[in-house]
Amino acid sequence: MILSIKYFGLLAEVTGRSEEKIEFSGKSISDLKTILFQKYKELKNKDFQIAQNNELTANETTVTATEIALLPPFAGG
Amino acid sequence: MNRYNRHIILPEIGQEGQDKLSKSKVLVIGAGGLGCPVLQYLTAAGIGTIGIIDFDAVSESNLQRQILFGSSTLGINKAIAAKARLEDLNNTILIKAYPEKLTHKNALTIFQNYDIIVDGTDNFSTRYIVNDASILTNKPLVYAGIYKFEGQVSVFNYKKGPSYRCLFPKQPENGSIPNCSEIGVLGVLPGIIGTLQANEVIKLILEIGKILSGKVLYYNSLNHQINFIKVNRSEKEIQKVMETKTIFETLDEEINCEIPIKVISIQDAINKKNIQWIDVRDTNINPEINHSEVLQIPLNNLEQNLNKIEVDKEQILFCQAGIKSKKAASILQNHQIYTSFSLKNGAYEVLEYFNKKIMRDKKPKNVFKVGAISTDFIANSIAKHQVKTGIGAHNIFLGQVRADEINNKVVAAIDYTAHEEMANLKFHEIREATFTKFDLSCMHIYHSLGKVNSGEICLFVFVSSKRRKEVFPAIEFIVEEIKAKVPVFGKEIFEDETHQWKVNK
Repeated sequence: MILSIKYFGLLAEVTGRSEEKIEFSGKSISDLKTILFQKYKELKNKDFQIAQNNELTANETTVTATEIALLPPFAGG
Repeated sequence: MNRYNRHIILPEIGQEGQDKLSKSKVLVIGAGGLGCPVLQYLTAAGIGTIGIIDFDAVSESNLQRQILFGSSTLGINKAIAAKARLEDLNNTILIKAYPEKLTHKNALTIFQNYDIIVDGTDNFSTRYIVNDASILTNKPLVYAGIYKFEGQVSVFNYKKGPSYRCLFPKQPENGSIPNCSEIGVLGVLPGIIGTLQANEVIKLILEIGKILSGKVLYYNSLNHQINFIKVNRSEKEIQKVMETKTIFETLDEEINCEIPIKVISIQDAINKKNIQWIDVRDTNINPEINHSEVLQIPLNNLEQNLNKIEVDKEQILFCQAGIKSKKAASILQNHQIYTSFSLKNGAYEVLEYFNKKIMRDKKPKNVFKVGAISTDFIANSIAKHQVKTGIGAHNIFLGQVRADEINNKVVAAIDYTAHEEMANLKFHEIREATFTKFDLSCMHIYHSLGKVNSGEICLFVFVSSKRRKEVFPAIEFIVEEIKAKVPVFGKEIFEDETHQWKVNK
């Protein structure tokens, strides 16, 4: 499936972009992370969460939506 | 032209038959779904004396099937309203209205004046009184019962035939069989079944055709299935009733007719349409529930305020823990109001439901504001709340951008960005959670987006409540939730225009 990925905060600086589309044939969030770490080596050292359908996911979560967001630590408030 | 010409020219009836009809006296118990068609056709047929007994008043939901009534008779006793309508249909016969409840005390006396009894009741306890009184006064009983799309008709106590108790010796378990107001009924069904009853009455008087004695006709209006089920007379059951002859009038209805209190959970209550919420707790009790949909009638005042009960609706009675509400339901039943439920849950759950309802009924809030939140904006917000005179306390939190010193560099501003869709959802969830946990009148949250300089306000949280107790923990809860759950990102921009990314601790 084609995933539309958004990068927020410092992750946009690490990847050099705020969003992109990638081809994904894996199953879980963990599979997605593997692909992204291969593409952007520096991501491995960064602390972030992945949101799908506006909800945070775990490594085992199955990728079902096409809108994914990479969220660095929150700084609101 | 004789009114009854169409009867008289039938060879099976003739003038002789019509005279038999005009000499007959028929009592119809209940002027409801079954009673209305029975009464209508017996009146038209020229039964000489017709008695109608019903204690209930006409309500709007009756008009779907009780065709003797209309808008002009809403609120009027059914026996009286029916009599008025029927006297117009046939002004040559005698119609007697008994606007009272049929009980052990009056049944025998009333039944003596009639030849045939028709059962148009809607509850089991009255059915058994009708049956027993028919046996004791030796009158045939034309019985019918309906349920959703099906009905039954039979003639009991006719020429040594069986009685209702021969079919159903024991009154059903309390609450096991819902009535029409609980489960619904197709309007035409009692029309069909009631007309079948009228047919049996006329055949009984004219002594023509086959009478439904010793068998029950079962009719299904959805598929037109008609079945005849044989019923045998049980001498044992008849004898048991005969033995009560001398004490019948002293029998206590409560023994046979304990109608159970209907208990309902909040999940089921909120799915009902057309309900009336009634708070039977004492006044000045926590949590306070002030909502336009909730009527407050403390239990001790209930009997004096029965006029506030809307009998067209179903009442959800609640208290702190579901106990007083049962008493309230019982009181209503003693006043023949059978439309109430006692809520299993208590006032806290009711408050939670109404708070969520207020939330849902409100439009979604705009939380994000571009740039700093100005002091004018904050002052205006306070000013706007001065009209809400039910409020006794506000609590306000202001988050300000601090000129942090990090590695000898000073923060000059923070540039806020967010995953806005998810952030708005999280703000909404925080609002819902806060209203559930705390008894607040209102709550506002505003967060900056874009650049906010040191010293400027980037977060404004404002809560209001009737009393001060709630506002302290509420504000802390909201602020901590925002910091933990909302995907907002902050780029700390230093005086030398380098930056780093802020992280909440």
